[in-house]
Amino acid sequence: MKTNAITYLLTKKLKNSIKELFKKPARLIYAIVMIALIVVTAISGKKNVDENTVFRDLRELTAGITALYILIFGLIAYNGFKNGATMFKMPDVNLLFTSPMHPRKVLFYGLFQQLGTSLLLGVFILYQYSWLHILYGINFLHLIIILLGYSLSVFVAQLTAMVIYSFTSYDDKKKRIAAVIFFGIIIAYAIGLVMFLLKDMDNVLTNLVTAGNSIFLRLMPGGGWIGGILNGILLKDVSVMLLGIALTAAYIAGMTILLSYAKQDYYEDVLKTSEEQFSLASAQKEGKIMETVGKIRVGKTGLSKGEGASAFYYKHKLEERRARRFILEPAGIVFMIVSIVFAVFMRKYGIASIFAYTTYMQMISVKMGRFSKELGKPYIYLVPESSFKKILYSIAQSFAGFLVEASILYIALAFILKLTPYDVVILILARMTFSCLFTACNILIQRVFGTLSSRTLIYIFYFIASFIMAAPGAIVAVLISNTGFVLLSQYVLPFLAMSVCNAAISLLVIYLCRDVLKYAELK
Amino acid sequence: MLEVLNVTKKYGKVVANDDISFSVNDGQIAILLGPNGAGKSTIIKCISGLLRFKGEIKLDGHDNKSIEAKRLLGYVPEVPAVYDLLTVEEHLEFIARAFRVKDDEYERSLLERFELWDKKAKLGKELSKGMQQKLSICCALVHKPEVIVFDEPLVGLDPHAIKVIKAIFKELKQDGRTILISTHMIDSVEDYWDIAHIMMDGKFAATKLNESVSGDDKESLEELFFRITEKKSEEA
Repeated sequence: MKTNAITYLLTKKLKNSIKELFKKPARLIYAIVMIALIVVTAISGKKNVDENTVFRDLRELTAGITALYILIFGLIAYNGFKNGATMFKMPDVNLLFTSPMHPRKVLFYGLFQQLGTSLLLGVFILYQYSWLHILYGINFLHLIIILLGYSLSVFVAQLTAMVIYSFTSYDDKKKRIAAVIFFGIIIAYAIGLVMFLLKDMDNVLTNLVTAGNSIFLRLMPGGGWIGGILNGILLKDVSVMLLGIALTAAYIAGMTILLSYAKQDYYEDVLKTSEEQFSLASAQKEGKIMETVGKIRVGKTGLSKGEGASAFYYKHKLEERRARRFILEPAGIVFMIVSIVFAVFMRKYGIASIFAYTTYMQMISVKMGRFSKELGKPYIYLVPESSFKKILYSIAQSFAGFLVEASILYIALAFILKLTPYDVVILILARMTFSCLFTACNILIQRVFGTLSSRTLIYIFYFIASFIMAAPGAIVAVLISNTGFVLLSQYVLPFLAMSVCNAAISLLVIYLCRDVLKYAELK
Repeated sequence: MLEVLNVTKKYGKVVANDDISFSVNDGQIAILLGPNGAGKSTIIKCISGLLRFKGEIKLDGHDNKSIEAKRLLGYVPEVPAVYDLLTVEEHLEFIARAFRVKDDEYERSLLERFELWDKKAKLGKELSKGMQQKLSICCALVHKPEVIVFDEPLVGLDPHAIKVIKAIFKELKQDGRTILISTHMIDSVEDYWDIAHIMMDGKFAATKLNESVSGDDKESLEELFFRITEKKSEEA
């Protein structure tokens, strides 16, 4: 029997990606390490729970996760007003769009493909098992359901973005109407929530949980409906679950019908986004980092300052202004919010565990900023200045961001954890030294493994090197803490010792790697 | 003067450049010819200090990775290297500041010659591939380097820009600069080169001096190129 072309394509792609995993040991190792980490998280979570454990109110979790689904849905769906969204890759555009296949069939292929991608995007949820199990007693099946809900939110949001873009991109009036509806819903919900919270300011957290589980939020399009499904399953409320399923299913069907029947010629609408994503992916494959900003406001022109190596610093400042990043990177803001949410739920475990968690998040979020981008262009190698100076000036711009990020995070945590001003200052300092440490670690990896083409292996080495470089500081902090000496507050001495250790190690590593540009290879 | 002495570059087990030696004198234009994958770009990148290699490369007697050598070098990459968020004019300002040179008149004349002056406020990401290539060439020349290496400089250029770059090659030569050009467009280099090296499998398969001016040329560069490359592929 002749196989359907789309079925053939999907099965071949799946088969070949599995085969590829075995052909490239680095990917296989990465996959094994990732799975092992999930298992370790699951086991470590189990150990800390017994029959006497008293769990927190599960409604806190359902409210929090619904908020996450709503946030993800809103952020992705909003793309529909900008560049649109796509479920297609460039080969799909070039080969499937031009084939004598009905666009509806091609759309279903795209939807199916998107489901897989959405699932992969939510894998990070599996690593949250340990603390979710300890605090709320959820099991692995519950976690899988949370993951499926997240993936479904991404998928529905992507579909919404595609519909918004398809129907409004060439008509400003329609775009305005869609924007009024989109933001109207968000603003209405935000006002409702604020008014509800203002009624009783002494119990903000309790009221947030109540609001997060209310029917009011369960009816919020997209994220609210999917949150309702989760709520129904975890709190064993069948009616809420069925309502969520019915609304989500009807919405997906409606959006699909809109795309495939009302507007059959959607090819042009996804072309631009597919092309942009293709160039981004190609650049990443070649080890280059592209600017992902949309329309740029040039503003004042000229570097105005900088001679020799410092010209890089002033150029980076200019580029950051044009990229509208100012100081904080979007990823940094997301990680900061996650850290604050974590602190709210984990406050009884003390500052050490929260600091460890925020540092772990920081390890993922610390990027060398424009230094990584600079390595993909020849100029940093060609400029006749010492390699050490060029490195320092190229990473300098990132440090303003690190300081602001650390200050915002720990001032916010000071209210949640009731920290003293001394604690806040020392924690900001400690976080800053970790920023230096992870930046130094990035440079070390570039120096030692710069020629490696496998990004997976580079990430693995980065994580290993980070743990090794951070270990002396952590050990010294624990030792000092055990001596019982106190300076200003119980946290100052251990965190100060840790900061000194981190700073010394970072400087030593950067100094030892000062010739990185001399020995690096342009990718 | 550019000296390349016994340079070998390997990517894992693949030998991209195999014990290559050659030199280019002041006021001389040398060209590297060869099919795709012959190792032309690799040797250009080694000279520019962008790759690690075994052997020695000297620019006016300085090791190519030294600060003194970098001051003397101009490099035009195969793929245009422009910053998305910098305007055309800011690219030249940045290079001038980084190299600690400043000559506004020269910056302007370069942009005008390549028809980029009216686009000086445009961002790198707004330029077409051809315009990015022109800007990349301007960036390599703005600090008035003594040794300039061009990696496929004519790819993507419009006829006017090709005319300009050819004129610039001649001016740089007259000015006593050292020029090395890697290209696979034989037609475009017929008239101005002094010495040509034909590369195959990471090595020099032939070296030819330009005798067309004296009329002693028995075999054109194109004939020599095809004789060597086609013979090799027949053997393969």
